[in-house]
Formats: sequence, structure tokens, C-alpha cells
Amino acid sequence: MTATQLDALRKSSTRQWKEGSIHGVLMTSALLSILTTVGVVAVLAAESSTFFREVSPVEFLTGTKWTPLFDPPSHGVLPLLCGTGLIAVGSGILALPIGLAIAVYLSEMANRRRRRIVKPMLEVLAGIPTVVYGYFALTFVTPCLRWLIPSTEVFNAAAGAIVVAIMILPMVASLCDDSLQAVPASLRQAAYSLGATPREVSVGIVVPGALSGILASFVLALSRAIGETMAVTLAAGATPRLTLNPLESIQTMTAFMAQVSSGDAPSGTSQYNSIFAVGFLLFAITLFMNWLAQRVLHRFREAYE
Amino acid sequence: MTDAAPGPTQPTEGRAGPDVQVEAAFTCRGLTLGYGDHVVVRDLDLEFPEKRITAIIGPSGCGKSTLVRTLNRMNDFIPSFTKAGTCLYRGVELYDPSLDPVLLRRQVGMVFQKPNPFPKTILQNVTWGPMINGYTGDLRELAVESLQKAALWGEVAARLDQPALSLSGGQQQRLCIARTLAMQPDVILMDEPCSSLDPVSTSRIEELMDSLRERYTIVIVTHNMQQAARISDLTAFLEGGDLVEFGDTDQIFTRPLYKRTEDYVTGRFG
Ligand SMILES: Nc1ncnc2c1ncn2[C@@H]1O[C@H](COP(=O)(O)OP(=O)(O)O)[C@@H](O)[C@H]1O
Ligand SMILES: [Mg+2]
Repeated sequence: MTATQLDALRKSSTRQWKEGSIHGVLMTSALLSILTTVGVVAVLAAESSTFFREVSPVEFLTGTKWTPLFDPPSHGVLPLLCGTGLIAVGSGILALPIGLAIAVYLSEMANRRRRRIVKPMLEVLAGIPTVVYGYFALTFVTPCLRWLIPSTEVFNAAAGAIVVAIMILPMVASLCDDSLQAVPASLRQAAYSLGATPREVSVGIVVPGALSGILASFVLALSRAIGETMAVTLAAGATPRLTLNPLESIQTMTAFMAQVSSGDAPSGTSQYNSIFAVGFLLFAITLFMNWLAQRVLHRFREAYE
Repeated sequence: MTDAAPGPTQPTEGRAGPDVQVEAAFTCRGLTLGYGDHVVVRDLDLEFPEKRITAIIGPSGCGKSTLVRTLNRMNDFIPSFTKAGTCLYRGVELYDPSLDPVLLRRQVGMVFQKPNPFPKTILQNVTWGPMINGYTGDLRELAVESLQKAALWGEVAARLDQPALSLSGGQQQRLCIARTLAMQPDVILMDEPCSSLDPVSTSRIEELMDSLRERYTIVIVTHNMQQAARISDLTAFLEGGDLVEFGDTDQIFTRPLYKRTEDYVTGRFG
């Protein structure tokens, strides 16, 4: 190779520097998010281990009374778990079918114009701050419930579940819509060419074809419901109670953490440490659910390849 | 090219229209099709005779798909689709407002260019259509029969409960044909059913079509001249928005009336 040829092909140091710096910036951002996660897990683990030196994990996981502020305190997390479960199940019962129905409507039945109207409306719903939902529950949903069923308590799980359902509805609808849209148009055509009606095409072909994506969006929405804090703190109250009655006041795991961290527990006490134990459990639950959603989605991808 | 006059079935020399003794499944008169302002085919006059294989040939973009999708109203799903003139199915105007396209499609089935089996089992693929349409007989028996007619039974008999997507492309296309046959249709529309298949699968589909001859009215779009010549009874040649020539396949390929047809079927075009 002659010198001129090599000159034409020589590596440019400016370009290398530019590429390198971009690479560095991007990698730093990625590292930052990994480090944050690692940090959160480390703090949670460290602080909960202090807690578990005082309270046995068995007592924590199986105890039926949560009274960390009493003397002597009782640290059974089941009432909080139950409260969280009530909110998650209640909001799921409402939001999942309605969200799926909206998605089927948007994806399969609505014309382009209606789609253009409904989609942004859902997005607005998703953009409302959660504290607004909390006050909406207190000042509107609960009065309605009390008018219907007078025995309803002022703070109650049902109102919390209803507003959380409204909060997760856009997410369910939008994720389900995405997975319905991912079903190839050729399958719809095949179904129509067999003399199917739009309803039969949606129910018999498109929804089953998108099932994994739909299930994954359900799991993600539920994990969002489990993590929701502000609205349930305001609406459902602060009474850790092992109950399945949605009209009673309860306390969720998140609401407890918000309550304690917003003031009265001095750092280092077992009350203070208990929020980390609860947080750790909450983290484990949502992590598990996200993992589940990933698993389900993975099966979905395989389906069309 | 003017009206295709009914006449004897045997090819007759020097006639523009096919000689058709049998009834017409579809009769198009002055049929103009398009999308929005864009006219795709204009003023078509042709008849698709019953229990015959009619091939539609022509360069890509000349409106072959548009025409076959009109015959089972699949164009209904394209909002900009426009149609003028008449197209009768057994004497009934296809676009009569009181005609239910859902019921029409049960009689006029369709096989698409790319195999599109449902992400269900092989058996469910065949039984789904009859099931939603309230078939009262034994669905499994019907499925077996349809798979046999589609020359697929031997290959899938032992794996009916496996996903249809685990089949090869050629097998998937025969499954799609079986699925259409299970509806017990009168007409089967095929839009380039072999264009995504290898030669071996293609010849299997051609054998299959040959076995369906005389029992079904088949309209097949193909860009493969040899295929049209091998399997069809009649051939319609579309080009530039016109039906250039329509006649017995034999005549179209050996004694075309028009230079345009001759150029196209002998490969001297473009
Ligand atoms: N959905 C559609 N919307 C608008 N134009 C279309 C649509 N489908 C096809 N066309 C146009 O109609 C013409 C004929 O298309 P098509 O019937 O698919 O031709 P062929 O099947 O002969 O290749 C082409 O010019 C194509 O661009
Ligand atoms: Mg085409």
C-alpha cells in the first residue's frame, strides 16, 4: 500500500474522539440508572436487616396485627398486605375489563376520527396528579358510596380502589391497544373472509392473538396499583385492618410508609425501620410482577415468529 | 374487447369472449373500481363462469387484487374504495345495500397471497370458520374432510393439536385452503396464492386446485404465466386499467387476439 492510499484511509482522531465521547455519555447515563437501583436495594436491605434483628421475619410475614406505634408494638404485615390487596384487586376488577373493552373499541371498532378523540382523552386522564385523584375520592366518590350504602366509612378501600382504577385505566387501555394493534392485519382479513362479524373477529381472533400482551399489561397495571400511594393514603385511610370489606377504612403498605416517613417516627427506632421492611416487601412484590409481565410478553413475541 | 357472450364451452377460434355454456357466478358490467380519485380499472365487462377456474393476469398494480377483493366485498375495509357499474353474484347485485357481506363471504371464500393461518392449532384453524357460523355437524369430521381435500391430511393427521405456525409455508397455505373449504363455499378467490412459495409447494397447490376443478368456482390471480396456462380454463388479461382480453386460456396463450396480450403472455412487455 502506498503512502497516499493510507492517508486517504487513515483513522480520523477527531471522529474517534467524538464517537468515544458520545459512547461515554450514553454509558454514564446507563450506569447511573443501574447505580440508583443498586443503591435503593442496598439501603432497603441494610435498613430492613436492622429491623429484622428486632422482629423475626416469620412474625413480620405471618402476624395479623400491625401496630408499630403502640407499646408494645406488633409487627404483623398481613393487615397492610391485605389493604394493598383490596386496592389492587378492587381496582383490577374495575379497570382491567373496562380498559380492555376500550382498547378493543379503539383498535377494532372505532374509525380514525373517534380514535383521534378518545386517545388524547385517555392520555389526559393519565396526566392528572395522583393527589387530585385522592381528593376526588374524598369529596366525590365516598359521598356517592355513602349515599348508596350508608354504612360506608368516611375513609374506605372502595373509594381508593375506584380512583386507582381510574388512574390505571389509561395504562391498561393503551397497552392493550398496542398489543391488539400488533396482531397482523392479515389475520383479521382471514377471519373476515370466513364470514366472521367484527365482534367474532375481535373476540375470536384478535384478542386471543394478543393475549400475552394483554396479560402483561394487566400485570403491569396491577403493579402500578400496588405501588400507588397518594390517592390511597387520602381515600382509604390509615387503619391497618385484616378485612375483606371494601367499605371499611384500611391502610396499604404504601400509605403506611407515607404516614411514617412524613413525620413522627425518629430515625433509628423500630417504627422508622419498619418502613424499610415494608418497602422491601413492596419492592419484592412489584419486581416479581414486572418479571412476570416480561415472561408473559416473551411468550407473545415467539407467537408471530 | 366487448361483451363476453354466452356460448358453447369448447374454445372457438377467433372470438374475443370466452364461450361459456355454464351459468356465470359473477357478472361484471361497466365495472369501474378505484381508491378516492384514483381509478384503478375502468368499465370492465366480464363473467366468471361457475365451476371453472378463471385466471386473472396482468402486470403488478393493474388492479387484479382490487378486482377479486370486490367479489367478496373485502374492499369494504378500505375507506377510500370506490365502485361504479354493476357486479352481480348469481344475479344479485353485490353492493346492494340489503346484501349482508358477512353472509356473502361464507359463500365466497378467499385465499391470500401470504399464508395467514391463525395462531391456533391446526385443527382449530379449520374449524373456526364453521364454528362461528353455527355449523351443526361434527366439526372434527368436517376438518378431516377439508384437510383431505386440501391434500394436507397425510402431513398433519398426527399433529392436529400443534400450532399451525409450526407448519412450513406451503403447508400453511394448504391449511388456509382447507380452512376456506371447510366453509363449504361456492367460490374460492385466490390472490397470488403461490407467490411466497417454493416450486415444490407451488406444484402441490396446483395439483390441489386441479382436484377442486368442477366442484368450485375458482378465481385465481397469478403473475405466473405458466401457472395460468397450466391450471385455468379461462384467462382475463388486465393492463393499464382495461380488460384487454378475456377468453379461453388456450386461446389467450396460443392465439391471442391482441398484440398487447401476445406481448404480455410471451414476456415482451415493459
Ligand atoms: N388500499 C389501497 N388504497 C389506495 N390505493 C390502493 C390500495 N390498494 C391498492 N391501491 C392501488 O390500486 C392499484 C391497483 O392495486 P392492486 O389491485 O393491488 O394491483 P395488483 O393486485 O394487480 O398488483 C395500485 O395502483 C395501487 O397502488
Ligand atoms: Mg395484488
